[in-house]
Amino acid sequence: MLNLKNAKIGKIYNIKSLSEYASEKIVRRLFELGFTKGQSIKVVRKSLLGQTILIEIRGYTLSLRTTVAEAVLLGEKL
Amino acid sequence: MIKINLVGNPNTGKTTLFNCLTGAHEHVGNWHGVTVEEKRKVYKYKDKEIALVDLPGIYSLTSLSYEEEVGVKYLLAHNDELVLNICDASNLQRNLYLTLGLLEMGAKVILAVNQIEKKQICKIDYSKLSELLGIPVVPINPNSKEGIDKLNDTIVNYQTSQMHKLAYLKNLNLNNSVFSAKDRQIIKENNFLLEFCAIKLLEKDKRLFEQFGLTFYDVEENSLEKVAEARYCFIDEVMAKCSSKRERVYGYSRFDKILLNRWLAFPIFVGFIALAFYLTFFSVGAWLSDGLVFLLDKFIGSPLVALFEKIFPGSWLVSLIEVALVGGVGSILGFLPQVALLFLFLSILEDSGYLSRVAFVFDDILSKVGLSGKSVYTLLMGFGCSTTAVLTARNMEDKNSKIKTALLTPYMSCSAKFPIYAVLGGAFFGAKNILVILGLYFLGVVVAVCLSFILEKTFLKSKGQTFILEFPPYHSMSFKRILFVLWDNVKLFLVRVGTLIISMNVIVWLLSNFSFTMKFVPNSGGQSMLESLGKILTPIFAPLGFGSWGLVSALLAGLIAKEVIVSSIAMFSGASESFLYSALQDPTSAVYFSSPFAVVAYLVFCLLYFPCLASIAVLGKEIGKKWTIIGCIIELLVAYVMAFIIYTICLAGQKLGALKLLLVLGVVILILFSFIYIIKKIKGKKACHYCKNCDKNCK
Repeated sequence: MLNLKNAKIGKIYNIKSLSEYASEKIVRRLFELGFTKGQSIKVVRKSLLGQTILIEIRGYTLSLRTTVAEAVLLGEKL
Repeated sequence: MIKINLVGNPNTGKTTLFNCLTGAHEHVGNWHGVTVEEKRKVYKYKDKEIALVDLPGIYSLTSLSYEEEVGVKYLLAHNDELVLNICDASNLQRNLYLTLGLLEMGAKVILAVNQIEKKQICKIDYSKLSELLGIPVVPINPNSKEGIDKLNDTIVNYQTSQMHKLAYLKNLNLNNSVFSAKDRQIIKENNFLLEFCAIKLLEKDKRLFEQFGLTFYDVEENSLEKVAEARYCFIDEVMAKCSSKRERVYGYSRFDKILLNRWLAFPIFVGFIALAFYLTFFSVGAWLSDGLVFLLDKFIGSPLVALFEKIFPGSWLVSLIEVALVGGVGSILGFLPQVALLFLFLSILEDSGYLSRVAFVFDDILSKVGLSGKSVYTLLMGFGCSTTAVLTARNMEDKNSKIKTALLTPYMSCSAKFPIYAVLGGAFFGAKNILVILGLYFLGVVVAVCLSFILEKTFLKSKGQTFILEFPPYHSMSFKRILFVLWDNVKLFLVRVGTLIISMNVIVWLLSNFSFTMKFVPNSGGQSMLESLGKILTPIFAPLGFGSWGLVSALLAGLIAKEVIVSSIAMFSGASESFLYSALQDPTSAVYFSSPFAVVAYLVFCLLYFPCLASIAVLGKEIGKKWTIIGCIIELLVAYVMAFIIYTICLAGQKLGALKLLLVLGVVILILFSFIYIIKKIKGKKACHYCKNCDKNCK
């Protein structure tokens, strides 16, 4: 399934849902940060080893581990 | 007295506003989680006393890390007091999420919108915002003091009449009837709203229910999502009505294209650090330091000694003044410019917003050794002072990463250790000392990284590390703030030297000049107290090349403060710089080094052994007694072993010649690596835990 970890850099996606396997702690924080259904999101860049990504959501910039990004399931933006 | 609590998301300028309102000088920085504990101060406005409490940043009323817990617990326990909620104008959408949480709690909220960013991302209609949320809204700028008086007026004249019910709560179908009579009693006693508890139930906030002894009821699976969506939906409506369209993204800047470039990021960071260290320790800092030493000796040191010689000729008091005060303290005081400069560079780094980028760049590599990008902040602050740096480890998300980060901080060579390298290294290596010092700083980092790797693989495996970090925009430092930071650090250093270091010097001088029978040793002969004690320990250190009692007792004295190592050695050698060098090479002196390699071993030992007592005390408070004791034991062992290895390698290099030595080392490293490789092969790879349905092994 397409998730934030394997999203392409520079492309805008829609958030479909948060993975049901992700821990409650991560889900909670992601909701607080505005990762709600249908929200558009973009990966700006990846770090050297690709383990950390930089994203844009709700008009601000956030960096995340890919272990967290895996939990964000995406749909293609039309 | 009006009580008011300052809350907001991390890095929205709470402490800046706190300082602005109360006139305090609390530490601020452009980083997520500078404030890790509550701070309070009372100030006066129009004859009314206002008690303001600054709390660590939070995202919502559910805490996920230790520093957040402080803020959330405090707010819940003081829910009848006024709340000053600060939001960043450029990131209002996300910041309002917390505001809604506060309003659900029924808190009396005053919203301060921080417009500190020079370029506004979007225009906001504040009166509309105030109307929609039902609370007073004041735009402010703590730097230019704009809106501060209006904010104070709002606090003093606060009335609840404006408050209204939040529209979206209807859509949540809150079920107030689940609460039993006993629960209702508790809710009433703690001054909560029934609705608030019902929302918290939907949010599955078990911690809150435990804190107040409420019964937790099961709720539907996706309730968490429903609450978050309802809030953000409302925020979107509010934003659509009262703000213009956004022009830029908050936090990302055009500099980031270069600074975060995959290949350039590391060299740029290392370059910055190298430049800062060079300026601090070798060029500007060193010149200023030399000048200061000269002035101190000429105008204070020498006249003072002369004066005492006149008043008490031949008395031991003259020796005390000459050796302990003028010589000992003088040897430390000269480092004032360098310490102040080092802290200035650290604050520049902290204020600029660059640290979040560094955290992003290093997170990858640090996660491999069980740390996270957030550790970078704590570790860099460790170059200044371990004691204050250890506290910042609180913003790590999981307990084991926090313990690891805190334990590794003392390996970052703190500013108090620099005088040791400069004085001892300078005496033996002259201009080449720059290499020795760089090597020592580097060694500290390498040892920390290796140790973290070992801890990660054994006792302190990190669990559920997330590394979620926002990027703040870049800030430049105002001239006023530079002066303030410099002055603040000069003051701190002078106070430290004037109290702790002076008293330690006097104690060390007394112990090293009087025998157990209270006789003044230089006159009567015999052994001083420190000499007798030191000589018990010297055999232990003989294999490292520094088996003289003066050096060993200096290490003991250094437990209180590392600077005392230098001042003690200066005292034992007769306190003047020309004496120092000859004393270090004189086999009969108390501070004799058998060879330059022994000096290196001594410096390595100083770098790695116990942190000072103040740090140990803070560590004990932050990570518990058990890990502090284990950490100290590890530090002692590592220090001894590393000093021994380096001393032995140097000696072997002298005997065997460099080439053969390299060959031997190469073989040893090769064997080690193949060993690690084999272990890794045996362990194999694990599938990622989210895609349970796929059979592929994810990387």
